[in-house]
Amino acid sequence: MKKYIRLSLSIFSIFFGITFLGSCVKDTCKQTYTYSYYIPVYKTTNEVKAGIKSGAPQEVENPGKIVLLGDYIFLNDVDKGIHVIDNRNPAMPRNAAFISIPGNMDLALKGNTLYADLYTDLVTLDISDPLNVVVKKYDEGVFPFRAYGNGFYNDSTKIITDWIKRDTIVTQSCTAGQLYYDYYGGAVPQTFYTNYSSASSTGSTMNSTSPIGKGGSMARFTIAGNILYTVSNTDLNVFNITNPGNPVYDSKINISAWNVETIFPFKDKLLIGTQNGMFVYDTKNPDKPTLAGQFSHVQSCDPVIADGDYAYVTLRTGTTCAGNTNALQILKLNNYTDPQLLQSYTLTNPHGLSKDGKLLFVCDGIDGLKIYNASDINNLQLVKQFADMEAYDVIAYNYLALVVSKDGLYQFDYSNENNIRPISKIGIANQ
Amino acid sequence: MRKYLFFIVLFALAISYSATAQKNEVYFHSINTFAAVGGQTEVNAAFQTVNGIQFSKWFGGIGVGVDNYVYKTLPLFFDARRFLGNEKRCFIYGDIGYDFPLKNKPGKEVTWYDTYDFSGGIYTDIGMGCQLPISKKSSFILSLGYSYKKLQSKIGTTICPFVGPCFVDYSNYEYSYGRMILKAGLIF
Repeated sequence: MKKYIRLSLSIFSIFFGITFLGSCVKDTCKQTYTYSYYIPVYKTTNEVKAGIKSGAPQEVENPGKIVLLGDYIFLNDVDKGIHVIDNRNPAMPRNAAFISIPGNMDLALKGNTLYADLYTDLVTLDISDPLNVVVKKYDEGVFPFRAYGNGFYNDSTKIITDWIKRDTIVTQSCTAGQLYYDYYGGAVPQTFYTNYSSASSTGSTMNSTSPIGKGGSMARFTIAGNILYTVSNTDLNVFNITNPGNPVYDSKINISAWNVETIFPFKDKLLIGTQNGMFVYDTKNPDKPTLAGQFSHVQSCDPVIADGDYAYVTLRTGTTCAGNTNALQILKLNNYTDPQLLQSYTLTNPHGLSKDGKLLFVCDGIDGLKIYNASDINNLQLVKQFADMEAYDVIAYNYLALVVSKDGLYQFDYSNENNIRPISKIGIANQ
Repeated sequence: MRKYLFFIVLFALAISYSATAQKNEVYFHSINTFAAVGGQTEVNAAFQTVNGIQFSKWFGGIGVGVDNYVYKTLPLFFDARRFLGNEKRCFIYGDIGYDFPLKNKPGKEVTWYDTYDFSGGIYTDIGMGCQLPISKKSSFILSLGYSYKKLQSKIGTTICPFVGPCFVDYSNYEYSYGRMILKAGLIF
């Protein structure tokens, strides 16, 4: 009897086990993703235009591009506007005013005129008195690539002026969708889903007859002569500013490249950095730049500057930049038609760069600011490194280096090459 | 309810076999098996070695292995067996322990990651088997069971706007795998 019971139990348990266990054979993956999204704050277009003026100074929150003109630094706060910094004493810079320009990422200066983008629009400001700027002209829709994306559309009478940040946690099956990339749930500021963000600046030109602000290498706006050149993701835009207060849109030139990033004027050329190479455009006919040469490189983000016969390009990785190269490349320009790679120096994550004389300043991401003696381009010598910052862009001019970093704006005195030292810092809010 | 019913039946089975007479003998055993692990995602290989002592019809030992199912892991577990019948040919077993991750990267299903951090989780195994003597001191062992393992990972992606500070977005993943496991090997 016992044997019979045991046998029955055995068969039953085996049968039941197979049935039960079969239903337990499954794999699950659960993904929990924490991200921030932003809710837009609107103002009417008229309210925004009325607000474009020198207001009370504000703390720097998200430093972007910079341009230096005379005793003033104009520092973009990404998507918000431009800080006017009185730099008559570089050791004690004074945050003097803030010009509210929602959606601003780029700027250029010539004489007493400042050109700034406001999302898709171009704003022209008289900055004769930087503490009392006046709007001279407002051109709508000249930068269509700056329109709100991600399925988020605005009506033309309203402009996004701010964003309210919300943090959220989403839990879902790993196969439910590419939540990993759906960072942009809800509306997000341009800062986070476009790599077009940068403050604009005007590069210096030897042939300019008016003082033009000196900008960093991450610029997407630049001025040469009487032309304002801007780059979108794919195009070179040309504005005639013979009458500085009345920029006239002239033409658009398609640049056959991936993701145009920067523009740098050099002599009668424009050096344009893209994700797959550097393009050289001739501006002998300023209104109609023509392609003069190009240098291809691996897919990467690449600010570019030039000096004499050489161009200096930094290549970096990062999610928006892709690629796997972090380096400083030095090219021989060869009359610009066929730039050739001369040297490549491996770096950590280089961003903007600048050169004054034999000193080459490179912002190397988390490795900070590196200053090289570039007398021999085949053997750069590291002169000084300031590692306690995450540096993005630099302007080196007249023995003063301005560095935009994660935690603010630094200034360095490099009048003595053997004693390059920091002299001031404007920090960012909540630090 | 089905789960509880199954375990009640299994327990009753174990108890029913324990009524037979027992000898007070202590033996050391090493149980070494290769396994085919099959689940919803794939069929893959595993290897285990369990070393312990047998007292009468009970066996207890410590096991360690390599489990290649989806992510390669190293389970470390306690193994208990109850041999059935007078000849102790067949048995039921249960394992419980911790699964250590051996894989360094999350694999193809996650791209654009910059940082990753895997951590382990619970490992369990339960089943039945039999052994066939092939010599005086060794036997061929075959078992079929259900195995469950868990893993976690935290993956970070650095987002860098063209200008402005970079930031890292994190995703936490929890993986759990329930699979059938067929083991074959030697016990000596």
